[in-house]
Amino acid sequence: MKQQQSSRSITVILVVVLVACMLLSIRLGAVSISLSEMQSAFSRYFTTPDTVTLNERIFMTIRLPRAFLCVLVGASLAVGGTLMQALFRNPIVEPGLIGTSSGAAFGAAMYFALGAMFKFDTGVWTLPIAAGAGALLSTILVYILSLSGQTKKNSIVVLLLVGMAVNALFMSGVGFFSYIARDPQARSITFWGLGNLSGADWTVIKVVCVSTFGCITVAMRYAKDLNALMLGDDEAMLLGVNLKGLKVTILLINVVMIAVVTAFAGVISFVGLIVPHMLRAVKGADNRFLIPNSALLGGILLTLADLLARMLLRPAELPVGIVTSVIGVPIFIYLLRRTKYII
Amino acid sequence: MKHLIGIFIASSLLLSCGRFGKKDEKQEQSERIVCISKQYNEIIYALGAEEDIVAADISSTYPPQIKELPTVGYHRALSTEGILAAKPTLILHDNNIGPEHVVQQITALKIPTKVFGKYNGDIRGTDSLIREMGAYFHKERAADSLCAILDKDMEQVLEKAKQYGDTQRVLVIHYGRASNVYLIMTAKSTAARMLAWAGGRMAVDGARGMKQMSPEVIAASDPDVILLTDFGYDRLGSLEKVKALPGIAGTKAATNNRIYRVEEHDLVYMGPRTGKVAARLQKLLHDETAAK
Amino acid sequence: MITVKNITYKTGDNTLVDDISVEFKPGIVNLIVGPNGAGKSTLIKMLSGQMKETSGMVMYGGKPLGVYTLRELAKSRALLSQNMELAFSARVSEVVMMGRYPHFSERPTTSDLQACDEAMKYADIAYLKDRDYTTLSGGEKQRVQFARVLAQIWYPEPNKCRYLLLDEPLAYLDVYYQHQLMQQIKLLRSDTLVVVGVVHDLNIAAKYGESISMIHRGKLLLTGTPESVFTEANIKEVYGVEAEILVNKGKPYICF
Repeated sequence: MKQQQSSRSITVILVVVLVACMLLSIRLGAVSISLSEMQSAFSRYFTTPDTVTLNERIFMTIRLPRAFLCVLVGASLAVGGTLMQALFRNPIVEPGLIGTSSGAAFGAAMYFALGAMFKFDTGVWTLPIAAGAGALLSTILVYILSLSGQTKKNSIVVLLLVGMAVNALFMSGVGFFSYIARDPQARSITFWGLGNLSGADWTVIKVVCVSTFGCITVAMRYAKDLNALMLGDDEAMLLGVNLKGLKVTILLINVVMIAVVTAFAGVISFVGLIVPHMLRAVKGADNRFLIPNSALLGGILLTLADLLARMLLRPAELPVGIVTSVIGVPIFIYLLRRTKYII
Repeated sequence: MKHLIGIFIASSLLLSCGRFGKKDEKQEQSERIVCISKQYNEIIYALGAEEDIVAADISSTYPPQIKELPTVGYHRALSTEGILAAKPTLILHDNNIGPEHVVQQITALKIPTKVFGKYNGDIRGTDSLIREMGAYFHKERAADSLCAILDKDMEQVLEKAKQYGDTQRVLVIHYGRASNVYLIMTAKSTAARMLAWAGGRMAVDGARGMKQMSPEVIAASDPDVILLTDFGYDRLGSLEKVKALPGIAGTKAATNNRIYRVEEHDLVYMGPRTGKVAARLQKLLHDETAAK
Repeated sequence: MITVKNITYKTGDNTLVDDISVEFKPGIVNLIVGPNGAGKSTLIKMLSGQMKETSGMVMYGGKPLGVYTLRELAKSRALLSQNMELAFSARVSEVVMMGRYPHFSERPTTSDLQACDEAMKYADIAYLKDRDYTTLSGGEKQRVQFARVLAQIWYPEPNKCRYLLLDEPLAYLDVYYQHQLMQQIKLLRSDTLVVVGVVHDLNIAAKYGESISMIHRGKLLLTGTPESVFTEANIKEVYGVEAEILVNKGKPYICF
């Protein structure tokens, strides 16, 4: 009972901090928008859209969706990390490990370098579609290749190693495309590969919202099974866990979440790696606690990182992936040094 | 590894780009133009119409005083709020801006944008662009005189070129090199046209304006003259170092010390100074004493 | 009751378990012995459902193993092995609670909490309750695993057997705890609990086993009381060593 109380109070704290961070991120930006403009934006945007001023429109169509996108992307990345670490029973795993983000990067790079050659163009949706297709392709490739020829079982170690190999393959594909691309296109590939949240609009929010909340809801149903997996595959099975179903479902959830957010926000590293670590250091490895709270903490971290990314070089923007790496590396090393892990 | 590169890029951005964080000194102005095109920017300054320009992209480097303006960053990696922070009443661009969603956001916000006409990449086309821009900014007389100077400069260059022919084969190395692979301007580039006027021709061809080439191809092309743009040349620091590069060492250009530094912004687009640039190139190619 | 009918397990050309038929009754401690590679572990893994037999059938209470869902099975069958890994830090009480996972869906009920408390008391580890499992010694970890396995099948169910399987669980325990664990298992005996275990140490088997099955090269040699199984001739045949059988506190004692 005491335990439940303490984990509930952590959740409450995280919710409060998240709301505070969102307010901060809505308040600050290259364009200064006053509080009264924000208020009037809400009332007028829906009632009398013709009278909306530029600042009010900037607030409603750029600033606000971006704040929401930050939270959703951060939540997806962090939950993806939690799920992958639980599934692989390994604390240094991140969601990109099974090829998802490198596949997305590959799809995006192909779009930048060769997009003009192919006659498919659906406007803003072309890039996300290309990235999503790449993510799916690479993940399926990893999964099929890791089904070992002899036993047809999905060994975790083999999956990890195949993931590394396929990652290397797709990243060299990205390298190839940036090499053959013209200078501006190559710059686009680099910038996309470093993550950016400026593409937020309400349609994007709807799509990401469905994937994030849907996946987290499904993941929560498997939290207990993932806990049992801590004991090992055999022990989990003896506790009634359907191993194959669990693995396939968790991998699928991860692909959907990561492919969607990577498609809209580019490759953002370290959030998925450090968030589960931070929470585990506070309150153990119970996935029923980790999954919802890593969504909150992931949202907080990415909101803060994006705030820095927007403010540091104002009025230009840093890619947010650079900020998450710069912040993430020291935190990760600190956590690694103070925690004893069996790897 | 990827993260290390990211950190490196971030810190070098922060250290090198003094242009970020320039103060906006035109706060009170009612007409506010953000111009995201190196070519437009140079013409606007030449017309004397720069008063309303409040911010520019980071690739616009001519004339030097444009670097005093606040910048909105790289033209392919713009941020909507970054542009809007300059409170533009107009955004000028030449259709080479990105990412795509930023363009969409700007359109959705109904910020006025303008693209001037697309003309041929020759002197007549450049004249037309200068005149169109002159008319737009009500600087018709300045435009006329810019065109007159440009035309006159060009006349002289072309006249002289007749006596030289296009015997000189020139290799233009853009930007620098990465692990001994060079980014070369080909016969399809703007620079190739300027060099043709000056009485030279490109040592290499390619499907697009720029091409990555290995040292072997460079050596085989054996150019009479090598032009290296400012960034790459300055990084190496001296002629001796450039001459020692693989592929370049041993070429006629290296043997005869005919390797010259050129400004990137002179060669990648046409503008009011193009006649003078061509004249300078002509001197480099054909007048040994002047080149020294 | 566990009934084993003609089960065989083959991988490639090797037959690890060869046509074994045997019954394990509730209320007594059934132990399986045999030399290395005889097929003991394969047999117990087929009993637990971890491995699928090539032919033959394992039946729990008269029904083939295959008709039970994983979850149903998990509610009445638990296995204690020598696997003590835990991927991340967790408190001992949480590890023991994992044994109750098959019984609840969202939150543990009071009876689940009670089962854990009682199992921990029974296994003598209540004092470790709030410790981080990963910081325990090998022996302590094994006793926590025992408590987890007990919690899994703590409550008897009407008209149904529970099954406690042991897959060489004594490996990391020193002599004192080996005997303590076997004693605790023996004291669990009930009409609704089937205990089947693989043990390595013949004297432990002789001391705590009530029905001994001796297997050799994948085949069942014989099943019977310790006195009938542990004879000088059987030991010689199966283990290839000369042994003398003494009597210690009424049980056979094998002296090599």
